[in-house]
Amino acid sequence: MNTESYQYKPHVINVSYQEISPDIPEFFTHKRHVFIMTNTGRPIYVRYGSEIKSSIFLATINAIFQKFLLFFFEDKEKQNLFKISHDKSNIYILQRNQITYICTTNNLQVYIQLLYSTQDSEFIIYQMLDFLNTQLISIVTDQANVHLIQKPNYDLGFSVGGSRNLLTLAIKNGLYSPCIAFNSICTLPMTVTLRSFIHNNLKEIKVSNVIATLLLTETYVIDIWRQKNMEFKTSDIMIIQSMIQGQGQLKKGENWIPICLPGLSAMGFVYAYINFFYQNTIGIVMISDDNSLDMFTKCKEAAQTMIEKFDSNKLQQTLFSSLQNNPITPKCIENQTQIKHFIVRHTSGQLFLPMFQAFGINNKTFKFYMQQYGELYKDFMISQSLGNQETKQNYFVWDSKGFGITQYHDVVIMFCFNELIEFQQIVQNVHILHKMFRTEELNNFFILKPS
Amino acid sequence: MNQDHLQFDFQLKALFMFNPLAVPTVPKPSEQDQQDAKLIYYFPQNANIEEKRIQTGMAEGIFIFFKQFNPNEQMMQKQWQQDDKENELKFQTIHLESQTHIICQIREDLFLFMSIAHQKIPKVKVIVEDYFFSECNKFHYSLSKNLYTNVAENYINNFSLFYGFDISQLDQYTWRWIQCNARTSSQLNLFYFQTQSFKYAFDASIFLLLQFLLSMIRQIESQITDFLVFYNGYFVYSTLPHKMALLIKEHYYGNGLSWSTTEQKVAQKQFLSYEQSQLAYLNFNNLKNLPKDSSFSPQIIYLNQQKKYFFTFLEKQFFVILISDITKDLSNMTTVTTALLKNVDKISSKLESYIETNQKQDSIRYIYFNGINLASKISSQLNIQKLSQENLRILQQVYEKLNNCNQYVIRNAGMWFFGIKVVDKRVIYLQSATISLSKIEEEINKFVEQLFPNFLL
Repeated sequence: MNTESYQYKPHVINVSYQEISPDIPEFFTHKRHVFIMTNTGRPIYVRYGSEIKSSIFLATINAIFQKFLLFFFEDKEKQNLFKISHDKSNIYILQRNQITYICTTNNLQVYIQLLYSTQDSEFIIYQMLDFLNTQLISIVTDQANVHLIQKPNYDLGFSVGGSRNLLTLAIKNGLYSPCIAFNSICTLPMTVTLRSFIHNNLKEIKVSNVIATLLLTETYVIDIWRQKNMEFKTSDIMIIQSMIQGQGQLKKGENWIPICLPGLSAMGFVYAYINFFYQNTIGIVMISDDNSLDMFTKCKEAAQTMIEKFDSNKLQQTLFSSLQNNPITPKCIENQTQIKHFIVRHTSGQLFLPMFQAFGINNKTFKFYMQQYGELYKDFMISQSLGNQETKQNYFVWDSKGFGITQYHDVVIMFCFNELIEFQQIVQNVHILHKMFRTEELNNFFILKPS
Repeated sequence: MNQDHLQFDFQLKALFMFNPLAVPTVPKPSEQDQQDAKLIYYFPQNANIEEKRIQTGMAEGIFIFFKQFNPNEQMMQKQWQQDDKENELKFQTIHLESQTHIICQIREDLFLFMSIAHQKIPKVKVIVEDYFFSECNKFHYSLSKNLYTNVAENYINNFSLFYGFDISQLDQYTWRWIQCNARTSSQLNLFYFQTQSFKYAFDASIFLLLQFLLSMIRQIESQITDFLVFYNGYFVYSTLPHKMALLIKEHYYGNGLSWSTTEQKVAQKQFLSYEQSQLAYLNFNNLKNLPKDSSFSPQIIYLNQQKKYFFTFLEKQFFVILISDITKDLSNMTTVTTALLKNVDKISSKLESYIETNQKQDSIRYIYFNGINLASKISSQLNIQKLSQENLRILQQVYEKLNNCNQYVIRNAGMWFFGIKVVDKRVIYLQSATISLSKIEEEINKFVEQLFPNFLL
């Protein structure tokens, strides 16, 4: 057998792919293509290539979709086309209001160099596209959909403009980050006392007209304070983190910027005070609907108070060591080789992610784990939707490749065990994980008390 | 979304075959002539001609357009051995909420398009709370693509086996296919194309007896190339792959009717009445009430594109199919019939008593797949009368997951599903979900020890 392998060219952030277009063969040397277009086929964003060069291609795709729907249906009810599968490639289509998101991906199995199949999880792709929609709306607000309804030929691509890199980052994160895959933030594990201390400080510095205050890093969330009866959505937090990742200047000095957080108000902007301290690693973000200078001053003062309090309690060192020790290798798997990896998701939308980064460069092994976890989680979600109330607890799946998922009270644990162990050993390992995440221990891993 | 949203019935809305390479024979052909030349067959035939033309063009266009996203096929051929890949059917499936379309490239010059209508595919909500747009964080949950491609594959394989891709017979074949796979109306079911027949584990001594008989038959008539044996509706033995054996059995008995009765029904384009269908279904599974058949009149089958004869013999529920090369001299077949008649009592009674013994066992039941055969046994501790739609869905999920691993265990919908695969044999054990994770393996092992004392794999 010819051992020459077929290697896809990976996407690299900050590299321009403007010269590529769908009519040249190089276009198809990339594994995953993402297109955003209006429902009339007008391009908004193309991952590889330029929107102008891809306009004919996208118009063709759109024409096929429209004609297809027109000619294969007698009934007037609009059908949603959501997937096309051709041999080893899949094309996923997500429609959100007036905008269509398309992702094409291949399931080509590469025999050498990679130990694992490179099959993409359908679930992760859809979650990525959904997050991409959230990110796009955050850039242009939901007014874009209103404009598109009134004027279907409205050029939304122009409005995206310089924020294009946020979309590129959203795709990258969407494909690889467990946070986006499982609609969760990644909370920083710490002791209960430290967590209470930080939370009380955030509470004390509350400012009127501030909807929420977050203490976070680029990838972790340390604590959240929300106004009473206010929900602050997980996706909004991920939008904020994404923005910080994509715009490095936000970590320098203090910033007061408008931001559209779809969970709060998709039609307009709120204002974010962002101040990164402790060598630009930890940031305080305060969200307000008041954009006055006075508001900025109040936020600034509040942040300063908090930082001083932290300094006087020597919190910098404590937080740094928590961050440096993250991702942690939990004790239960330190000395044994049977539990290779696990991810824990709390029902409140938080993740505990040992050993790998929530966002950022991870190795191929972790990417492979994520594809398996994605499918496991999808099956879990489907079962939850279909099942009766009584049968919704104690969901459990395991396969002989070592992957599985177990539901335990308020957490869902996705795991990867060694393949070559007996079933009783699997049971024991599951119990080890359950013990680690029993209810009384959860405060060490997650932010549990509401504001 | 709840279980009422699960439905695996479907209707065949349209089916057509086309040849994208065909050129019109008329001089100065118009666009319509070109479209007409490509379309080989369209079901239902009374569809509007314009619609037929447009749909053919669309199907061809879609297939070619989305093919470019597939990894470069020349690149693939450099990597893999070429033996099987060229003959593989290539499928494209297009998933919509209430319809799924399947396009299959059978050959360079022959494509199949099937449009199946089913219940609307529900959406699954990934997070509890609403986001800024009500459709956010919802995705379509679709059944596995294989369930749909199985339907097309079944159609194509039957067409190949029994009609040798003779295009002139397409209409007759399509009607037969629909009627054989449906019951009283035009509703078919996705799961039906996955697993059908039952197999019992037979004693080694019975198996050897059977082998002796078949060897003797081959000595009588050397032109015989293949055997298939069923008993009481159960698959016993085949020299052909299981899937093909089952297609042949189904084709012969259609939906439980004998060959000649089915032909009449197909000609009239009628479905059975409910009572007839019930009776036919019972007959299909136990062959008890079917008349004896030892006429040995040959029918045609195409194996590896070679035309062959097949002969059927049925007596006392012992159903044998013999396949031979085409021969003008059928004189030896009388001797073959005699040999079968002489031995049928012995084999039938052994098989019968074996099955009776198994059925009288304690009422533990299991679900067993060997790729195409299904036997079912469910634990007596499980307090259910029949499997719900959700259970069926999970069973199908376990079955598919066993394609890629040797064990797959899931606790859901009030039950444990414990799937084990050994080579191509799959067994799925069902137990009550009240059994804890620590105890489940022990309970399953009790099953295993009791069930297969002489299991002939």
